[in-house]
Amino acid sequence: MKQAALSYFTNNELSLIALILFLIAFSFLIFRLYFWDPKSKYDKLAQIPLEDKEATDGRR
Amino acid sequence: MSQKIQVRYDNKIVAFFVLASIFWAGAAFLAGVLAALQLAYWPFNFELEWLTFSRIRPLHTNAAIFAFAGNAIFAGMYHSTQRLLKTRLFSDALSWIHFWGWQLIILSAAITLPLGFSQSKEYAELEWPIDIAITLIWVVFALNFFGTIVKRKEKHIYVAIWFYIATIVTVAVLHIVNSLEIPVGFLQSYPIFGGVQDALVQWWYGHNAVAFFLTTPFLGLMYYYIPKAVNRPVYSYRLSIVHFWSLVFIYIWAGPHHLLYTSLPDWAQTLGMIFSLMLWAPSWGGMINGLLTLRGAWHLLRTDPIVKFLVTAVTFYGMSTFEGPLLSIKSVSLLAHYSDWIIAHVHGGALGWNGFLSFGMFYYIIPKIWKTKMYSTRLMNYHFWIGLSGILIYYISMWASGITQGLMWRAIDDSGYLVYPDFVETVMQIAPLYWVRAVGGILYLTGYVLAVYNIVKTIKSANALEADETVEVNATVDLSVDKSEGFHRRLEGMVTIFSVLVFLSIAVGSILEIVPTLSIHKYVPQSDEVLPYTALEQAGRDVFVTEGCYVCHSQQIQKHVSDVLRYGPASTIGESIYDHPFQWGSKRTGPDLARVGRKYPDLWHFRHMMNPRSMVEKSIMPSYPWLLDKKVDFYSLRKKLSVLKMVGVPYTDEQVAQADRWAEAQADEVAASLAKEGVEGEIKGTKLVALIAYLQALGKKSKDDEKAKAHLELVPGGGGEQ
Repeated sequence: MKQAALSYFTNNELSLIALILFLIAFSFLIFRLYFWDPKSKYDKLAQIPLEDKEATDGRR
Repeated sequence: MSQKIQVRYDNKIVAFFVLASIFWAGAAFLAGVLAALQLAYWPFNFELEWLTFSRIRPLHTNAAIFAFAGNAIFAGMYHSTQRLLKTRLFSDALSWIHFWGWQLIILSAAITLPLGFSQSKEYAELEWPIDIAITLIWVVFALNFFGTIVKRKEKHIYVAIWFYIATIVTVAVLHIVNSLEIPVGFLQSYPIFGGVQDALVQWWYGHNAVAFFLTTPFLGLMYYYIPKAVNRPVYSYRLSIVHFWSLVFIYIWAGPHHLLYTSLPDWAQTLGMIFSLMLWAPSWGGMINGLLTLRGAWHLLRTDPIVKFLVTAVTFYGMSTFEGPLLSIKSVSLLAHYSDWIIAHVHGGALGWNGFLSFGMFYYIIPKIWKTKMYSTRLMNYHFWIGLSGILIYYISMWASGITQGLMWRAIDDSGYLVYPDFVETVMQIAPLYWVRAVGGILYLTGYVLAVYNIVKTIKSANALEADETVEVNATVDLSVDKSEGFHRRLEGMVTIFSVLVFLSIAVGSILEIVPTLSIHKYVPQSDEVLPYTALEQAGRDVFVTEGCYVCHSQQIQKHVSDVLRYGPASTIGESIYDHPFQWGSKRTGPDLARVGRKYPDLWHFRHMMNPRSMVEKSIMPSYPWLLDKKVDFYSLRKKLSVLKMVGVPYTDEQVAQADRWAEAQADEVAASLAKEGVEGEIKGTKLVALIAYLQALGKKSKDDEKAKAHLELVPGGGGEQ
C-alpha cells in the first residue's frame, strides 16, 4: 500500500486539502496576532534591543 | 526595586570573530577575482592544478560562505545575543573552541580544495574528516548558544534570537543529512545517495544553506543592528512573528527549483516552484520590517555610512528575494537555468545582502568594543560607493550574459534547427562581459581594501579592546510562563518548545520531499536501466569529480526542445541512478556532457584535455596537463567498488575482487587506441586514460549497448552475472 502511495504521489485532492489546512492555520495565526492580543504588548518587546541605551555616536 | 548585579559581556571573542571574518574576506574576494579573470582570459589558470578555475571556484564559494559570512555571523550573534539576553556567553572555553575549531576547518578547506580533494557537492565539497569537524564544532556552538539562553537575565527572547535558533537547528539537520557518506580513503568518500536522490538531497541542502546560513542569521542581525543603528524599535514586532514562522516553514521546500526540467519527478519540481513563489511574501515582509524601522530617521541614510550599508543590504535582500521566486517559475527557469543569470542572482545576494550587512555590522561593532570612533567616515563612504558600483557592474554584466546565453541556447529557426549549434558561439558572444564582471569584482575588492585600512587605523588609534564590558542587570528574572500574556510571548519564554516547533517546521517539508524520492529507483522502467560504470570508468569518474569538471559542465539534458536538439534525448532517472555523487551540474560554462560518450574519438579527448584550443579554437577551458603525469591507484578500486556495492550499485563479487585487474585491462585498450593514433609514452596507468574511459561511457551504459557489455568481459574470470 505504501509503495502504491509513493509511486502515485501526485494526488491533486490531497494537495488541495493540504493547502486549505495551511491557509486556515495561517489565517488563525494572523487573527491571534493582530486582533486578539493588544499591540502594546508587542511594542514593549520591540524595545528590548534599545534597553541598554548604548551610546550611538550621537544617533538620533 | 529589584536587586542589580554586574554582568561582563565577552567582547574579546566578538573581536576575534570580526577580525577573522575580515581576514578571510580577503581570501574569498581574491579567489573570486581570480576566478572571474580566468573566465575572461583562460591563461590566468597558469596551467597550475592548484589554481585552475575548477578548483578555485569551490575554494571561493567556501571562503565566501563559511569563512567570511560564517565568522561574521558568529561575531554578530555572540555580540547581540549577550546584550539581548543580558548575560555573558555560557562558557568561555566553548567560545574559544568554537573560534579556533572554525578557523581550523577553514584552513583545512583552503588546503584540501586546491589540492583536489572534493566531494563535488556544492557548498558541501569538503571531505568526510572535515564534515565530522564541522559537526563537532557546530555542537559546541549550539551548546554555548543554548546555554546562554538558559542563563539569561531577560525573560523574553527577542526576534533576532528566534532566527539564530532556526539557523542552529536547521543547519545541523542539513549538514548531517547531506553529509551521509562512506569513506573510501582518508580524503575521499561516496555519498549514500545516488542519482536523482542525491540531486534532491544536495539541492535541499544547497538552497537551505542559502536560507539558513546566509539568510536567517543575517535577518536576525538585521533585527538587532538596524534598530541599534537608528535608535528606533523594529517597525512591527507582530509582522516579525509572521515573517519568522512563514519563512522557516516555507523556505525548506524550495530546493527543487534548482532542478526544473530535469529528470526529477514533476511533482517535486512543482512543489519547489510553488513554495519558492510563496516565499516571496515572508521575505518581503522581513524587508519591509527592516526598511520601515527607519521611519522618522531616513535622513540617517544620507549622513551615516553604517545606515547606508545596512539599508542597502536589506534592499538587495528584497531584490534577491523577488528575483529568486521569479527564477523559480518553470518558464523563466527555462531561460535562466545553467546561465550566468543565476550567477548574477547569487552575487546580488552575497555581495549586497550578506557582504554589505556584514560590513555595516563591523562598522557598528568595532568602535563600540574598542571604545573609539572610526578613523575615517570618508573612507567608509568611499567603501560604500565603490563597493556598490562593483555590485551593480557585476550584476548587470552577468544578467546580460545570462539572458544572452539563454536566448542563444534556445534559438531555433523556422526549419526546426538550432540557430547556434556550436556551444562555443555563445561563449564567444558573452566573453567580453566576463571582463566587465571582473571589473565589478575588482571594485568590490577595492572597497574592501579601504575598509581594512580604515579598520586597522581605527584599532591602532584605540587605547585597547574592552575585552570584558561590565553592565548592571536585574539579579533575578522570573522565567516562568505567565498565562495572561499573548501566546507568542509565552512561546518566546519556552525556549525548548520553541526550538522543537522550529524543528518541526523544517522537518515537514524535508520529509515530504525527500522520503518519496528515496523510493523512486523502484519505479525506474526496465528500458531505462543501465549498467554500472566499469572499474576504470569509476576511476575516471573520480577524476571528473575531484577536478571539479561539474563546475562548468552539466550532465543532465533537460526536457525541452532546444536541449534535446543540441545534446540528444532528455536524461532519464535510470541513467544516473548509480551516480554517487550525482553530477547533473548547475552551470554550463561549457556544453552538457550527458551524451558525449563516443561522440568524439579517444584522441580528441586526449588532445582536448592537454590543450582545449587544439580542438575548439575559441575555447576558454583551462588545460589539464597534469592528468598525464598522475597515476591511478588501481588497487584502491577494490575498496571503491565494494563501497559502491554497499550503497546499491549492482557490482558482482568478482568485479569487486578483480577491480584493479579489470581496470588495467580496459586501460590497456584505451592506451592501445591512443598509441595507434600516434600518442607516445607510457600512458596506460594515467588519470587521463581513466578520464577518457569515463567520458566515453557517458550516455552509453544501456544494457543493450554492445561495447558496454564487452567491457564487462574484461573482468578476469568473467565477472559473474550482472
